[in-house]
This record gives sequence, structure tokens and C-alpha cells, in this order.
Amino acid sequence: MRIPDLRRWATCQSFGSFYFVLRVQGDLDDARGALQAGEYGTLAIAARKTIVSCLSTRGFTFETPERVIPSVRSSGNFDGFQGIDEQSIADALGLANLALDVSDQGSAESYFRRLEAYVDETEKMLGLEEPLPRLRTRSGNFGIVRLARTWDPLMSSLQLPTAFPSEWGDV
Amino acid sequence: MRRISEEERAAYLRKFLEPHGVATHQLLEDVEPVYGPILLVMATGSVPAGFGNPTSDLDLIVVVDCKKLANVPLVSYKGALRVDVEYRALPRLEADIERITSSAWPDRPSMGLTEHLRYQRALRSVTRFAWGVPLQREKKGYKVLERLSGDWLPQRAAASYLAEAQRMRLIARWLVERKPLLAAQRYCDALILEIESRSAARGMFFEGPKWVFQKLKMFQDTAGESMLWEALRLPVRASECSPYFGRMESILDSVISSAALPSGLEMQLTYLPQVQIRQVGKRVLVSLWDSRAHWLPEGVSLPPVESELPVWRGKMSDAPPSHVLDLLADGMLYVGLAQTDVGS
Repeated sequence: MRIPDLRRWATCQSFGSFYFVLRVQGDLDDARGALQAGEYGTLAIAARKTIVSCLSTRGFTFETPERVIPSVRSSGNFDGFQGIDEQSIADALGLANLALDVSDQGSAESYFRRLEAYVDETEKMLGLEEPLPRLRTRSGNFGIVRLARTWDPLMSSLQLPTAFPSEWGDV
Repeated sequence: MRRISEEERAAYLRKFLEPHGVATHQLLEDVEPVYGPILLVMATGSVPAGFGNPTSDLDLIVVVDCKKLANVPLVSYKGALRVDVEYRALPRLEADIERITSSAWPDRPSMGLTEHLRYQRALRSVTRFAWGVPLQREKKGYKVLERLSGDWLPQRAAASYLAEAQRMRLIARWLVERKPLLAAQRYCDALILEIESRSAARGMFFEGPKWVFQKLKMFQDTAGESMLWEALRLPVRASECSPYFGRMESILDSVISSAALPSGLEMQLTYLPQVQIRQVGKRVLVSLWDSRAHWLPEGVSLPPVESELPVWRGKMSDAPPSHVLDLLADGMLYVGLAQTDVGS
């Protein structure tokens, strides 16, 4: 496989992986919890968050050259839509809005399956060699440490920042 | 104001643990004094707040009598129940409480990103802690808990969430032309934060934007629920945004009174990390990560990055000039709030 721009490829693979594991998986779990509790308003909020996180992750695929590593997500002007084409954004936000029409457990379950499929498709778009670890499982924390140990040496040698959460310290 | 009592929070915890076949005291089995003497163990998070659902984790905060600790979350399992355990050094918790006790955000005449993040982290730490159920407490730990009683904390949280709501609203306004879809998201976030503020003022100060519907139900706030459903129906294309902006301005006008905001607030835009400024011939180039870049218009200059001076400052009703908005929309500037009525 030829890599035309190693720095950008490494950034996309590393940040995309961490973003998916740390954000998307947690947001989808929130949606699942809301579904099981029959809280449809909370489901709508979690679905919106899941989809916006998925778009941010999709921005880290190699095909979206406009994406730059965000300095700080909490700044309020971090643009998770950057580099993604208008139709893909419209489809994604349209899926988020469908959650507002959920009215009973049947429609909630059917909606959740679509949301899950969108999340699975997002992970596949990263083009990784193996599935990402699931953070909220017994082995999840080890999985994320493995992920850091895989990507950090390459990122460091390219003088790029780690995608590993800084508050967790060195691994 | 109705603050849910410790007994009610303990009842939520027991109800959550019951299907897992776990008794409250069993949660202490996975807590060990490896970092020093344990002063306090609190069960906290969404479960004692009454929002727990079948996929919720349970959070334990263990306060330890030691100077400093790395913030590494540890995980244990009791059957299918996941327990996240966080050990926290007493001085760190006391420093967080001191910061929140002394003033509401923003509390300084110059507040950049670092100060903002520090305050928000301290507020989150203290509100989560105060909303917990003590499982084990020593005398020194009990004193920490005593500081968190009374109405001051809900009021402090409400004021901070409201200031953050206004910050999001201004970011939305400033992005309307350049990033309409992002502006729409920020308008929605502004309302969610206002609901957080409203709920805190009523006594529910546990931070959790994802629980805002349940908070509104708790207070039988049907008008708030209608507003939130409307705000969540976000435009999906830039061309559809304009009517949404009008509706959101009107909704936010009805819930955020300028009188409720403290006087002396000022917006300050500062550089985000990894922004660089270079003189190239007669012109100035501003870049992020040496990747994305903007030429400034001829004759325009900005303060050097290392000066830490704001790129722009103004009142809530002011708007930054066009070249500053370009940098803001491209993720190069932090939008901060500062309080000019206090000394430095």
C-alpha cells in the first residue's frame, strides 16, 4: 500500500481511532441506555451527539483533506463537519432528526438499529486493519492502552501530538 | 429550591444496584488504601442523581490523604455492573471547592482557555462530588462534605451554566454567515445549557446535558420541553438555517434575561494552541498546525501569540471584525468570557 502523505495518514488513523473509541462508543451507549429505559427525549439527545461524533470521526478519514487536528474541542468553534460533503452531512443530520419522531418502543428499537448501522459504517470508513477495542468492556481499558502504544511512537517520531487523553497521563 | 436529599440519592443507588444483586456496602470491596489513608468514598454520577438506566456505570470517588495523584480511572466489575473508581487527592478536591466557593465563572478580568477549562473542571468535580452518596467517611472527609451543603452551590452552578449558555449563543451568532450548520448546533447547545442553569437554580445542579429532558420532567416544565423539542429539530442543510436562527433567537430571548447575567461581562478572543503568526513580506500569515492558514488583510496586524493578549475584546452586544471572524470560524481562536468588574 502506498501512502502519499504519511503525516496526514498517521493523524487520521490515530485521531480517528481515539475519537471513535472515546466519543462515538460512549455516545452510542448513552443512546442504548435511553432506549432500554424508554426515555425517548434522552434518546434523541444521545442520537444527535452520536451522529455529530460520527461526522467528526469521518472527518478524520484520509479522504477529507481539510481536517486539521483540533486544538481544543471544548472551544465551541471546533467544526466536526469540516471537509465532509454537503449530502453526507444532510443525510447524517436527517438521521439525527428522525429520532425526534420516535413515539413507542417499537419505533425506538427500529431507529436504534439504523443508528448502530451508521456507527458501524463510520468505524469501517477509518480503514483499520482490525476492529477497534470496545472501551466499556472488561478488556476495554487495556485495548485503549494498546492503541496508544501502537500509534504514539509513530506520531512522536513525526513530531505530531498524541491523541491519547492527556489527563490519563503517560502510558 | 428543592435539593434532593442524601436519603433520596441513597434510595436511587439501592434501586439501581438491586437487579445486579449488589448491596451498597459491597461497593467498598474494590477500594483499597494503596495511595494513602482513605478519607471518604462517594458513589456518584448519574445513578444517585436518579438518571441511571440499564447501561449506566457507577462512579466511585475515593478521597485519599495524600498530596498528589495521577488521574487514571480504574475499572472493576460486579457481574455485569461496571464500576469506575477514581482516586482523588484531598488537596486537589479542596482546591476545587475553594475555587468554586470564592466566585462564579467568569471571575477574572482576563480569562483564556486554560482558566476556563480549570474552572469548568473544578465545577464539574465539585458538583458531581456534592451529588454523591457517602459510603465511607472519616472525620477529615466529613468536613469536606459539610462545606458543600446549603444553597450556594446550586446558585453558583446556575450562574456558571447561564454564562456558558450566553457564550454559546454568541459563538452561534458569530458563525451564522461562515458556518451556518455549526452555528445551528451551538444555538441548540445554548438552550441545553440554559436548561442546565434553570434546573440548577431549582436545586438539580448535577451537570449532565444528556439528562435535560429528565430534569425538565422532574420540574414538570412542559414549556421547557416544547422549546427543547423544537431546538433539537436542527436544519440539515446550510440553505435551511435562516428560519432556525430566528426561532432560536426568539426562544433564547424568552429564557435568557440580560438582567440575569452579571454586569461587567466581556468577550475576549484569544489564540488557540498551535496557532502561529508569520510576517511574509508586507503581509501576515496566520496558521494552525502549520496546515490551514489565512492571510490577514493588508495593513491589519494582530498581537504576537506569545503576548497572550486578546486578539479582540468587546461587550456582549459587539461583534468582532471580519478578519477575526474568519480566524474564529476556522478554529484558530478561543471565545472566552471575562469579568471586568473585578480586580486582577
